[in-house]
Amino acid sequence: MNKIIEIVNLYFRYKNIEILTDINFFVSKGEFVGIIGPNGAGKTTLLKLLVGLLSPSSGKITVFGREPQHPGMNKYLIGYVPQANEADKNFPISVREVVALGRYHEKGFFTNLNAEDFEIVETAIKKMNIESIADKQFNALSGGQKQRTLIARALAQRPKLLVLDEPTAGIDVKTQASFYEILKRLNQEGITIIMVSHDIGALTKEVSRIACLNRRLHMQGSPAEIMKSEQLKKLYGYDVLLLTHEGKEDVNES
Amino acid sequence: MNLEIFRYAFMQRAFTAGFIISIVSSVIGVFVVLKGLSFAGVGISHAAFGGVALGYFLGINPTLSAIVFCLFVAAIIVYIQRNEKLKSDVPIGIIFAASMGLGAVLISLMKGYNVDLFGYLFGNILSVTHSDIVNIIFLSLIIIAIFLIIFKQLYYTTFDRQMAKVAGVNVVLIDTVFMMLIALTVVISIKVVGIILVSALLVTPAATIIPWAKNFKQLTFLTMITSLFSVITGLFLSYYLNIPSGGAIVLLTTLIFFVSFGFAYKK
Ligand SMILES: Nc1ncnc2c1ncn2[C@@H]1O[C@H](COP(=O)(O)OP(=O)(O)O)[C@@H](O)[C@H]1O
Ligand SMILES: [Mg+2]
Repeated sequence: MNKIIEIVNLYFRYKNIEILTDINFFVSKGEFVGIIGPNGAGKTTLLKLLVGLLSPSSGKITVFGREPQHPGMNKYLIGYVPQANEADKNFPISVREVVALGRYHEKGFFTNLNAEDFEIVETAIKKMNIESIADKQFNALSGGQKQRTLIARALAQRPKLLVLDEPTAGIDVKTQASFYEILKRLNQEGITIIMVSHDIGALTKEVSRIACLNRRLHMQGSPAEIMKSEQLKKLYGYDVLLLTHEGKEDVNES
Repeated sequence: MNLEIFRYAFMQRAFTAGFIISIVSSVIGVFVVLKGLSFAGVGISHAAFGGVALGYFLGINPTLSAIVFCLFVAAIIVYIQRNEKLKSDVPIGIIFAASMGLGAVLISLMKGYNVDLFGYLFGNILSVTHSDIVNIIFLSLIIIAIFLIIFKQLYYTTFDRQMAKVAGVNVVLIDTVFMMLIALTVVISIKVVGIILVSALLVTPAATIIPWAKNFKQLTFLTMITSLFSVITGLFLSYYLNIPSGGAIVLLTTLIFFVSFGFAYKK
Protein backbone atom coordinates (compact mmCIF):
# COMPACT_ATOMS: atom_id res chain seq x y z
CA MET A 1 0.00 0.00 0.00
CA ASN A 2 2.62 2.56 -0.88
CA LYS A 3 0.71 3.87 -3.90
CA ILE A 4 0.17 7.50 -2.99
CA ILE A 5 -1.80 8.40 -6.09
CA GLU A 6 -4.14 6.04 -7.89
CA ILE A 7 -5.96 7.22 -11.00
CA VAL A 8 -8.24 4.69 -12.68
CA ASN A 9 -10.21 5.20 -15.92
CA LEU A 10 -10.34 8.93 -15.35
CA TYR A 11 -12.28 11.15 -17.76
CA PHE A 12 -12.69 14.87 -17.44
CA ARG A 13 -15.03 16.91 -19.60
CA TYR A 14 -15.37 20.66 -19.61
CA LYS A 15 -18.57 21.88 -21.28
CA ASN A 16 -18.87 18.61 -23.21
CA ILE A 17 -15.32 18.81 -24.49
CA GLU A 18 -13.29 15.86 -23.42
CA ILE A 19 -10.09 17.18 -21.93
CA LEU A 20 -8.77 14.03 -20.29
CA THR A 21 -9.51 10.61 -21.72
CA ASP A 22 -9.17 7.32 -19.88
CA ILE A 23 -6.18 8.16 -17.70
CA ASN A 24 -4.67 5.35 -15.65
CA PHE A 25 -1.77 6.48 -13.55
CA PHE A 26 -0.12 5.49 -10.29
CA VAL A 27 2.53 7.14 -8.19
CA SER A 28 4.37 5.39 -5.36
CA LYS A 29 5.79 6.87 -2.22
CA GLY A 30 9.14 8.58 -2.75
CA GLU A 31 8.92 8.97 -6.53
CA PHE A 32 9.85 12.12 -8.43
CA VAL A 33 7.58 12.11 -11.48
CA GLY A 34 7.75 14.58 -14.35
CA ILE A 35 4.76 15.23 -16.58
CA ILE A 36 5.34 16.61 -20.06
CA GLY A 37 3.02 17.42 -22.93
CA PRO A 38 2.22 20.26 -25.33
CA ASN A 39 0.19 23.32 -24.37
CA GLY A 40 -3.47 22.50 -23.86
CA ALA A 41 -2.65 18.84 -23.19
CA GLY A 42 -4.59 18.87 -19.93
CA LYS A 43 -1.61 18.83 -17.54
CA THR A 44 -2.90 21.64 -15.35
CA THR A 45 -6.35 20.05 -15.40
CA LEU A 46 -4.91 16.77 -14.16
CA LEU A 47 -3.13 18.51 -11.27
CA LYS A 48 -6.29 20.42 -10.34
CA LEU A 49 -8.12 17.10 -10.19
CA LEU A 50 -5.38 15.79 -7.91
CA VAL A 51 -5.75 18.64 -5.42
CA GLY A 52 -9.55 18.61 -5.53
CA LEU A 53 -10.11 21.92 -7.33
CA LEU A 54 -11.96 19.93 -10.02
CA SER A 55 -13.82 16.66 -9.80
CA PRO A 56 -13.69 13.84 -12.35
CA SER A 57 -16.49 13.43 -14.91
CA SER A 58 -16.04 9.70 -14.49
CA GLY A 59 -13.45 7.31 -13.18
CA LYS A 60 -11.66 7.54 -9.91
CA ILE A 61 -8.79 9.42 -8.30
CA THR A 62 -7.49 8.68 -4.87
CA VAL A 63 -4.65 10.43 -3.10
CA PHE A 64 -3.45 8.84 0.13
CA GLY A 65 -6.39 6.44 -0.24
CA ARG A 66 -9.07 9.15 -0.32
CA GLU A 67 -10.80 11.12 -3.05
CA PRO A 68 -9.32 14.64 -3.00
CA GLN A 69 -12.76 16.23 -2.52
CA HIS A 70 -13.76 13.94 0.31
CA PRO A 71 -14.38 16.01 3.46
CA GLY A 72 -12.30 13.60 5.52
CA MET A 73 -9.29 14.03 3.22
CA ASN A 74 -6.25 15.54 4.91
CA LYS A 75 -5.66 17.92 2.05
CA TYR A 76 -2.75 19.63 3.74
CA LEU A 77 -0.72 16.52 2.93
CA ILE A 78 -0.75 17.76 -0.67
CA GLY A 79 1.38 20.84 -1.22
CA TYR A 80 0.22 22.49 -4.44
CA VAL A 81 1.96 25.24 -6.38
CA PRO A 82 -0.28 26.36 -9.24
CA GLN A 83 0.91 27.39 -12.68
CA ALA A 84 -0.64 30.82 -12.88
CA ASN A 85 0.17 32.79 -9.78
CA GLU A 86 -3.16 34.45 -9.12
CA ALA A 87 -2.05 36.26 -6.00
CA ASP A 88 -3.32 39.81 -5.66
CA LYS A 89 -0.81 42.40 -6.83
CA ASN A 90 -1.73 45.14 -4.38
CA PHE A 91 -1.93 43.02 -1.28
CA PRO A 92 0.60 44.21 1.31
CA ILE A 93 2.12 40.97 2.55
CA SER A 94 5.66 39.86 3.29
CA VAL A 95 7.32 36.67 2.12
CA ARG A 96 7.21 35.28 5.66
CA GLU A 97 3.50 36.04 5.93
CA VAL A 98 2.82 34.27 2.64
CA VAL A 99 4.69 31.19 3.83
CA ALA A 100 2.78 31.27 7.12
CA LEU A 101 -0.52 30.96 5.22
CA GLY A 102 0.49 27.37 4.54
CA ARG A 103 -0.01 26.55 8.21
CA TYR A 104 -3.76 27.23 7.94
CA HIS A 105 -4.09 24.37 5.47
CA GLU A 106 -3.32 21.99 8.31
CA LYS A 107 -4.74 23.88 11.29
CA GLY A 108 -7.89 25.35 9.82
CA PHE A 109 -8.92 28.98 10.21
CA PHE A 110 -10.27 29.02 13.73
CA THR A 111 -7.04 28.84 15.70
CA ASN A 112 -4.10 31.18 15.85
CA LEU A 113 -0.62 30.18 14.81
CA ASN A 114 1.65 29.35 17.75
CA ALA A 115 5.39 29.12 18.33
CA GLU A 116 5.57 25.66 16.80
CA ASP A 117 3.86 26.92 13.63
CA PHE A 118 6.33 29.77 13.30
CA GLU A 119 9.18 27.31 13.67
CA ILE A 120 7.74 25.22 10.84
CA VAL A 121 7.46 28.41 8.78
CA GLU A 122 11.12 29.25 9.42
CA THR A 123 12.16 25.73 8.47
CA ALA A 124 10.27 26.00 5.18
CA ILE A 125 11.93 29.37 4.51
CA LYS A 126 15.36 27.88 5.13
CA LYS A 127 14.70 24.88 2.93
CA MET A 128 13.87 27.15 0.00
CA ASN A 129 16.87 29.44 0.69
CA ILE A 130 14.76 32.57 1.02
CA GLU A 131 15.91 33.73 4.47
CA SER A 132 17.44 36.88 3.01
CA ILE A 133 14.18 38.02 1.43
CA ALA A 134 11.81 36.83 4.16
CA ASP A 135 10.87 40.36 5.23
CA LYS A 136 10.46 41.72 1.72
CA GLN A 137 7.12 42.50 0.13
CA PHE A 138 5.91 39.49 -1.86
CA ASN A 139 4.85 41.70 -4.75
CA ALA A 140 8.29 43.24 -5.11
CA LEU A 141 9.93 39.85 -5.82
CA SER A 142 11.21 38.45 -9.11
CA GLY A 143 9.43 35.51 -10.72
CA GLY A 144 11.91 32.99 -9.34
CA GLN A 145 11.74 34.41 -5.82
CA LYS A 146 7.94 34.31 -5.91
CA GLN A 147 8.03 30.72 -7.06
CA ARG A 148 10.34 29.76 -4.17
CA THR A 149 8.08 31.56 -1.73
CA LEU A 150 5.03 29.69 -3.00
CA ILE A 151 6.86 26.38 -2.70
CA ALA A 152 7.88 27.36 0.83
CA ARG A 153 4.20 27.99 1.58
CA ALA A 154 3.44 24.49 0.32
CA LEU A 155 6.26 23.10 2.51
CA ALA A 156 4.81 24.90 5.53
CA GLN A 157 1.86 22.54 5.19
CA ARG A 158 4.32 19.74 5.98
CA PRO A 159 3.11 17.88 2.90
CA LYS A 160 3.92 14.30 1.95
CA LEU A 161 3.26 15.08 -1.72
CA LEU A 162 4.33 18.14 -3.69
CA VAL A 163 2.38 18.99 -6.85
CA LEU A 164 4.19 21.59 -8.95
CA ASP A 165 2.81 23.10 -12.17
CA GLU A 166 5.60 24.46 -14.40
CA PRO A 167 7.59 25.86 -11.48
CA THR A 168 10.64 26.68 -13.57
CA ALA A 169 8.87 28.73 -16.24
CA GLY A 170 10.42 32.20 -16.30
CA ILE A 171 13.35 31.34 -14.05
CA ASP A 172 16.89 31.78 -15.35
CA VAL A 173 19.03 28.73 -16.02
CA LYS A 174 21.39 29.25 -13.10
CA THR A 175 18.56 29.57 -10.62
CA GLN A 176 16.94 26.53 -12.19
CA ALA A 177 19.94 24.38 -11.35
CA SER A 178 19.83 25.28 -7.67
CA PHE A 179 16.07 24.90 -7.79
CA TYR A 180 16.41 21.29 -8.92
CA GLU A 181 18.99 20.76 -6.17
CA ILE A 182 16.41 21.82 -3.59
CA LEU A 183 13.72 19.60 -5.10
CA LYS A 184 16.08 16.61 -5.12
CA ARG A 185 16.89 17.17 -1.46
CA LEU A 186 13.19 17.39 -0.56
CA ASN A 187 12.62 14.19 -2.49
CA GLN A 188 15.43 12.48 -0.59
CA GLU A 189 13.82 13.62 2.65
CA GLY A 190 10.81 11.53 1.69
CA ILE A 191 8.49 13.94 -0.10
CA THR A 192 6.93 12.52 -3.23
CA ILE A 193 6.99 15.03 -6.09
CA ILE A 194 4.91 15.43 -9.23
CA MET A 195 6.04 18.18 -11.51
CA VAL A 196 4.80 19.49 -14.84
CA SER A 197 7.49 21.06 -16.99
CA HIS A 198 8.28 21.98 -20.56
CA ASP A 199 11.96 21.86 -19.85
CA ILE A 200 12.50 18.28 -20.98
CA GLY A 201 16.28 18.58 -20.94
CA ALA A 202 16.52 19.41 -17.25
CA LEU A 203 13.62 17.19 -16.28
CA THR A 204 15.15 14.04 -17.74
CA LYS A 205 18.25 14.57 -15.62
CA GLU A 206 16.40 14.94 -12.36
CA VAL A 207 13.28 12.79 -12.22
CA SER A 208 12.82 9.05 -11.77
CA ARG A 209 9.91 8.75 -14.16
CA ILE A 210 8.33 10.77 -16.94
CA ALA A 211 4.73 10.66 -18.12
CA CYS A 212 3.73 12.07 -21.50
CA LEU A 213 0.25 13.54 -21.51
CA ASN A 214 -1.77 14.84 -24.39
CA ARG A 215 -5.42 14.43 -23.46
CA ARG A 216 -4.46 10.76 -23.00
CA LEU A 217 -1.52 9.36 -21.13
CA HIS A 218 0.58 8.37 -24.13
CA MET A 219 3.47 6.72 -22.40
CA GLN A 220 5.48 6.69 -19.25
CA GLY A 221 8.82 5.33 -18.20
CA SER A 222 12.31 6.21 -17.11
CA PRO A 223 13.84 9.29 -18.73
CA ALA A 224 16.11 7.11 -20.86
CA GLU A 225 13.18 5.13 -22.21
CA ILE A 226 11.23 8.25 -22.97
CA MET A 227 14.08 9.99 -24.76
CA LYS A 228 14.62 7.00 -27.00
CA SER A 229 11.02 6.78 -27.94
CA GLU A 230 9.65 7.77 -31.30
CA GLN A 231 6.38 8.55 -29.57
CA LEU A 232 7.78 11.67 -28.04
CA LYS A 233 8.35 13.08 -31.49
CA LYS A 234 4.81 12.22 -32.44
CA LEU A 235 3.50 13.83 -29.32
CA TYR A 236 5.28 17.08 -29.93
CA GLY A 237 5.68 16.89 -33.67
CA TYR A 238 9.26 17.94 -34.41
CA ASP A 239 9.28 20.42 -31.61
CA VAL A 240 10.99 18.56 -28.82
CA LEU A 241 14.35 20.24 -29.17
CA LEU A 242 12.79 23.50 -30.22
CA LEU A 243 10.66 23.54 -27.12
CA THR A 244 13.56 23.21 -24.72
CA HIS A 245 15.48 25.74 -26.74
CA GLU A 246 12.60 28.20 -26.67
CA GLY A 247 12.25 27.69 -22.96
CA LYS A 248 15.81 28.84 -22.45
CA GLU A 249 15.40 31.91 -24.60
CA ASP A 250 12.36 32.99 -22.62
CA VAL A 251 14.46 32.73 -19.56
CA ASN A 252 17.19 35.07 -20.71
CA GLU A 253 14.69 37.81 -21.37
CA SER A 254 13.21 37.79 -17.88
CA MET B 1 -10.92 77.32 18.01
CA ASN B 2 -14.07 77.83 19.99
CA LEU B 3 -15.35 74.46 21.18
CA GLU B 4 -18.93 75.48 22.01
CA ILE B 5 -19.89 72.94 19.38
CA PHE B 6 -19.44 70.08 21.85
CA ARG B 7 -22.02 71.57 24.20
CA TYR B 8 -24.79 70.57 21.84
CA ALA B 9 -26.12 67.07 22.36
CA PHE B 10 -26.71 66.63 18.62
CA MET B 11 -23.06 67.42 17.91
CA GLN B 12 -21.91 64.98 20.58
CA ARG B 13 -24.03 62.34 18.88
CA ALA B 14 -22.72 63.25 15.43
CA PHE B 15 -19.11 62.98 16.65
CA THR B 16 -19.77 59.68 18.41
CA ALA B 17 -21.40 58.28 15.28
CA GLY B 18 -18.61 59.68 13.09
CA PHE B 19 -15.93 58.12 15.26
CA ILE B 20 -17.47 54.64 15.17
CA ILE B 21 -18.29 54.84 11.48
CA SER B 22 -14.69 55.81 10.63
CA ILE B 23 -13.32 52.77 12.43
CA VAL B 24 -15.80 50.27 11.01
CA SER B 25 -15.76 51.58 7.45
CA SER B 26 -11.94 51.53 7.44
CA VAL B 27 -11.74 47.91 8.53
CA ILE B 28 -14.30 46.88 5.89
CA GLY B 29 -13.05 49.40 3.30
CA VAL B 30 -9.53 47.94 3.18
CA PHE B 31 -11.02 44.70 1.85
CA VAL B 32 -13.49 46.53 -0.40
CA VAL B 33 -10.54 48.13 -2.18
CA LEU B 34 -8.26 45.07 -2.17
CA LYS B 35 -11.06 42.88 -3.50
CA GLY B 36 -12.03 45.44 -6.14
CA LEU B 37 -15.54 45.86 -4.76
CA SER B 38 -15.80 49.66 -5.01
CA PHE B 39 -18.71 49.44 -7.39
CA ALA B 40 -20.46 46.87 -5.18
CA GLY B 41 -20.14 49.42 -2.37
CA VAL B 42 -21.77 52.08 -4.56
CA GLY B 43 -24.52 49.66 -5.55
CA ILE B 44 -25.38 48.51 -2.05
CA SER B 45 -25.35 52.02 -0.63
CA HIS B 46 -27.73 53.31 -3.29
CA ALA B 47 -29.96 50.34 -2.63
CA ALA B 48 -30.32 51.69 0.90
CA PHE B 49 -32.46 54.45 -0.61
CA GLY B 50 -35.06 51.85 -1.60
CA GLY B 51 -34.74 50.32 1.86
CA VAL B 52 -35.29 53.58 3.70
CA ALA B 53 -38.26 54.55 1.47
CA LEU B 54 -39.78 51.13 2.04
CA GLY B 55 -39.60 51.70 5.78
CA TYR B 56 -41.45 55.02 5.57
CA PHE B 57 -43.98 53.56 3.17
CA LEU B 58 -44.77 50.58 5.38
CA GLY B 59 -44.60 52.65 8.54
CA ILE B 60 -41.77 50.64 10.05
CA ASN B 61 -38.39 51.80 11.32
CA PRO B 62 -36.43 52.91 8.21
CA THR B 63 -33.14 51.72 9.70
CA LEU B 64 -34.57 48.24 10.11
CA SER B 65 -36.04 48.18 6.61
CA ALA B 66 -32.73 49.47 5.21
CA ILE B 67 -30.85 46.66 6.97
CA VAL B 68 -33.14 43.94 5.67
CA PHE B 69 -33.28 45.43 2.18
CA CYS B 70 -29.50 45.94 1.87
CA LEU B 71 -28.72 42.42 3.16
CA PHE B 72 -31.16 41.08 0.59
CA VAL B 73 -29.57 43.15 -2.20
CA ALA B 74 -26.07 42.03 -1.16
CA ALA B 75 -27.09 38.38 -1.31
CA ILE B 76 -28.84 38.83 -4.69
CA ILE B 77 -25.77 40.52 -6.17
CA VAL B 78 -23.48 37.65 -5.12
CA TYR B 79 -26.03 35.13 -6.37
CA ILE B 80 -26.33 36.70 -9.84
CA GLN B 81 -22.56 37.18 -10.00
CA ARG B 82 -22.14 33.41 -9.79
CA ASN B 83 -23.70 33.18 -13.24
CA GLU B 84 -20.56 33.25 -15.35
CA LYS B 85 -22.32 34.58 -18.44
CA LEU B 86 -22.56 38.06 -16.95
CA LYS B 87 -19.66 40.23 -15.89
CA SER B 88 -19.65 40.90 -12.18
CA ASP B 89 -20.57 44.59 -12.46
CA VAL B 90 -23.79 43.86 -14.38
CA PRO B 91 -26.00 42.70 -11.48
CA ILE B 92 -24.81 45.67 -9.44
CA GLY B 93 -25.76 48.08 -12.23
CA ILE B 94 -29.22 46.53 -12.51
CA ILE B 95 -30.05 46.19 -8.80
CA PHE B 96 -28.79 49.60 -7.84
CA ALA B 97 -30.96 51.44 -10.39
CA ALA B 98 -33.94 49.26 -9.51
CA SER B 99 -33.63 50.10 -5.79
CA MET B 100 -33.38 53.82 -6.47
CA GLY B 101 -36.40 53.51 -8.76
CA LEU B 102 -38.35 51.72 -6.05
CA GLY B 103 -37.42 54.44 -3.59
CA ALA B 104 -38.53 57.21 -5.96
CA VAL B 105 -41.88 55.54 -6.63
CA LEU B 106 -42.60 54.83 -2.95
CA ILE B 107 -41.73 58.36 -1.84
CA SER B 108 -43.93 59.92 -4.54
CA LEU B 109 -46.81 57.74 -3.34
CA MET B 110 -46.49 59.10 0.19
CA LYS B 111 -48.04 62.49 -0.54
CA GLY B 112 -47.57 65.00 2.21
CA TYR B 113 -45.14 62.83 4.10
CA ASN B 114 -42.19 64.92 5.03
CA VAL B 115 -39.04 62.81 4.63
CA ASP B 116 -35.72 64.63 4.90
CA LEU B 117 -34.60 63.41 1.50
CA PHE B 118 -31.62 65.70 1.19
CA GLY B 119 -30.38 64.57 4.61
CA TYR B 120 -30.68 60.91 3.70
CA LEU B 121 -28.88 61.42 0.42
CA PHE B 122 -26.02 63.66 1.54
CA GLY B 123 -25.83 63.35 5.32
CA ASN B 124 -27.20 65.62 8.03
CA ILE B 125 -25.51 65.93 11.41
CA LEU B 126 -28.71 67.24 12.96
CA SER B 127 -30.47 64.00 12.15
CA VAL B 128 -28.49 61.63 14.39
CA THR B 129 -30.84 60.65 17.23
CA HIS B 130 -30.12 58.86 20.48
CA SER B 131 -31.63 55.64 19.12
CA ASP B 132 -29.43 56.00 16.02
CA ILE B 133 -26.40 55.92 18.30
CA VAL B 134 -27.69 52.79 20.03
CA ASN B 135 -28.27 51.16 16.62
CA ILE B 136 -24.83 52.18 15.37
CA ILE B 137 -23.07 50.74 18.42
CA PHE B 138 -25.09 47.53 18.33
CA LEU B 139 -24.60 46.97 14.58
CA SER B 140 -20.92 47.88 14.77
CA LEU B 141 -20.37 45.22 17.39
CA ILE B 142 -22.07 42.68 15.13
CA ILE B 143 -20.03 43.77 12.10
CA ILE B 144 -16.74 43.59 14.00
CA ALA B 145 -17.59 40.23 15.59
CA ILE B 146 -18.43 38.62 12.24
CA PHE B 147 -15.43 40.28 10.64
CA LEU B 148 -13.11 38.80 13.27
CA ILE B 149 -14.63 35.35 12.78
CA ILE B 150 -14.10 35.36 9.00
CA PHE B 151 -10.93 37.49 8.99
CA LYS B 152 -8.34 34.78 8.23
CA GLN B 153 -10.44 33.25 5.49
CA LEU B 154 -11.25 36.65 4.02
CA TYR B 155 -7.56 37.54 4.10
CA TYR B 156 -6.49 34.33 2.33
CA THR B 157 -9.34 34.55 -0.20
CA THR B 158 -8.44 38.13 -1.05
CA PHE B 159 -4.74 37.43 -1.44
CA ASP B 160 -4.98 34.15 -3.35
CA ARG B 161 -8.46 32.88 -4.08
CA GLN B 162 -7.47 29.60 -5.70
CA MET B 163 -5.17 28.53 -2.88
CA ALA B 164 -7.74 29.59 -0.29
CA LYS B 165 -10.08 27.09 -1.94
CA VAL B 166 -7.37 24.45 -1.78
CA ALA B 167 -7.00 25.24 1.93
CA GLY B 168 -10.67 24.44 2.40
CA VAL B 169 -12.19 27.94 2.46
CA ASN B 170 -15.76 28.15 1.18
CA VAL B 171 -14.97 31.23 -0.89
CA VAL B 172 -18.55 31.84 -2.04
CA LEU B 173 -19.78 31.85 1.55
CA ILE B 174 -17.00 34.27 2.51
CA ASP B 175 -17.91 36.53 -0.45
CA THR B 176 -21.55 36.54 0.60
CA VAL B 177 -20.86 37.25 4.25
CA PHE B 178 -18.45 40.02 3.36
CA MET B 179 -20.98 41.62 0.99
CA MET B 180 -23.44 41.59 3.91
CA LEU B 181 -20.87 43.29 6.13
CA ILE B 182 -20.64 46.01 3.48
CA ALA B 183 -24.44 46.33 3.61
CA LEU B 184 -24.46 46.75 7.40
CA THR B 185 -21.61 49.27 7.26
CA VAL B 186 -23.57 51.27 4.71
CA VAL B 187 -26.64 51.32 6.94
CA ILE B 188 -24.80 52.64 10.01
CA SER B 189 -23.16 55.37 7.92
CA ILE B 190 -26.28 56.74 6.22
CA LYS B 191 -27.22 59.43 8.74
CA VAL B 192 -23.80 61.03 8.91
CA VAL B 193 -22.47 60.56 5.38
CA GLY B 194 -25.59 60.06 3.29
CA ILE B 195 -26.66 57.30 0.92
CA ILE B 196 -25.00 58.76 -2.15
CA LEU B 197 -21.69 59.37 -0.40
CA VAL B 198 -21.25 56.35 1.87
CA SER B 199 -19.25 54.41 -0.66
CA ALA B 200 -16.54 57.08 -0.64
CA LEU B 201 -15.85 56.31 3.02
CA LEU B 202 -15.48 52.64 2.12
CA VAL B 203 -13.13 53.29 -0.77
CA THR B 204 -11.18 56.54 -0.62
CA PRO B 205 -9.26 56.29 2.69
CA ALA B 206 -8.07 52.74 1.95
CA ALA B 207 -7.15 53.67 -1.62
CA THR B 208 -5.15 56.61 -0.22
CA ILE B 209 -3.03 54.35 1.99
CA ILE B 210 -2.52 51.27 -0.21
CA PRO B 211 0.49 52.63 -2.14
CA TRP B 212 2.26 53.38 1.16
CA ALA B 213 1.44 50.46 3.42
CA LYS B 214 4.19 47.97 4.22
CA ASN B 215 1.92 45.42 5.81
CA PHE B 216 -1.69 44.73 6.50
CA LYS B 217 -1.77 46.11 10.05
CA GLN B 218 -0.24 49.35 8.90
CA LEU B 219 -2.71 49.59 6.03
CA THR B 220 -5.69 49.18 8.35
CA PHE B 221 -4.32 51.55 10.99
CA LEU B 222 -3.41 54.36 8.59
CA THR B 223 -6.72 53.98 6.78
CA MET B 224 -8.47 54.51 10.12
CA ILE B 225 -6.42 57.62 10.82
CA THR B 226 -7.20 59.06 7.38
CA SER B 227 -10.86 58.29 7.75
CA LEU B 228 -11.08 59.68 11.30
CA PHE B 229 -9.34 62.88 10.28
CA SER B 230 -11.72 63.40 7.35
CA VAL B 231 -14.85 62.60 9.30
CA ILE B 232 -14.03 64.73 12.36
CA THR B 233 -12.82 67.68 10.29
CA GLY B 234 -15.81 67.26 7.98
CA LEU B 235 -18.20 67.44 10.92
CA PHE B 236 -16.58 70.69 12.10
CA LEU B 237 -16.87 72.18 8.62
CA SER B 238 -20.44 71.01 8.33
CA TYR B 239 -21.31 72.76 11.58
CA TYR B 240 -19.47 76.01 11.01
CA LEU B 241 -20.18 76.43 7.30
CA ASN B 242 -23.66 74.93 7.42
CA ILE B 243 -22.98 72.46 4.61
CA PRO B 244 -24.01 68.77 4.37
CA SER B 245 -21.70 66.63 6.52
CA GLY B 246 -21.39 63.90 3.88
CA GLY B 247 -20.29 66.38 1.23
CA ALA B 248 -17.66 67.92 3.50
CA ILE B 249 -16.28 64.52 4.55
CA VAL B 250 -16.10 63.14 1.03
CA LEU B 251 -14.43 66.25 -0.37
CA LEU B 252 -11.81 66.04 2.41
CA THR B 253 -10.98 62.35 1.83
CA THR B 254 -10.80 63.00 -1.89
CA LEU B 255 -8.41 65.91 -1.40
CA ILE B 256 -6.15 63.71 0.78
CA PHE B 257 -6.36 60.95 -1.82
CA PHE B 258 -5.12 63.17 -4.62
CA VAL B 259 -2.28 64.57 -2.53
CA SER B 260 -1.22 61.00 -1.65
CA PHE B 261 -1.67 59.86 -5.25
CA GLY B 262 0.54 62.69 -6.49
CA PHE B 263 3.36 61.75 -4.11
CA ALA B 264 2.97 58.00 -4.52
CA TYR B 265 3.45 58.13 -8.25
CA LYS B 266 6.31 60.58 -8.19
CA LYS B 267 8.27 58.02 -6.15
N1 LIG C 1 -11.85 26.69 -17.05
C1 LIG C 1 -11.60 26.45 -18.34
N2 LIG C 1 -12.16 27.22 -19.29
C2 LIG C 1 -11.94 26.99 -20.59
N3 LIG C 1 -11.17 26.02 -21.06
C3 LIG C 1 -10.58 25.23 -20.17
C4 LIG C 1 -10.77 25.38 -18.77
N4 LIG C 1 -10.06 24.44 -18.17
C5 LIG C 1 -9.46 23.74 -19.13
N5 LIG C 1 -9.76 24.19 -20.34
C6 LIG C 1 -9.27 23.64 -21.61
O1 LIG C 1 -8.71 22.39 -21.31
C7 LIG C 1 -7.56 22.16 -22.08
C8 LIG C 1 -6.40 21.74 -21.20
O2 LIG C 1 -6.00 22.84 -20.42
P1 LIG C 1 -4.79 22.74 -19.40
O3 LIG C 1 -5.08 21.64 -18.45
O4 LIG C 1 -4.59 24.08 -18.83
O5 LIG C 1 -3.58 22.35 -20.35
P2 LIG C 1 -2.01 22.42 -20.09
O6 LIG C 1 -1.78 22.75 -18.66
O7 LIG C 1 -1.50 21.07 -20.46
O8 LIG C 1 -1.46 23.47 -21.01
C9 LIG C 1 -7.28 23.40 -22.86
O9 LIG C 1 -7.65 23.18 -24.21
C10 LIG C 1 -8.15 24.44 -22.22
O10 LIG C 1 -8.62 25.32 -23.20
MG1 LIG D 1 -0.81 24.24 -17.74
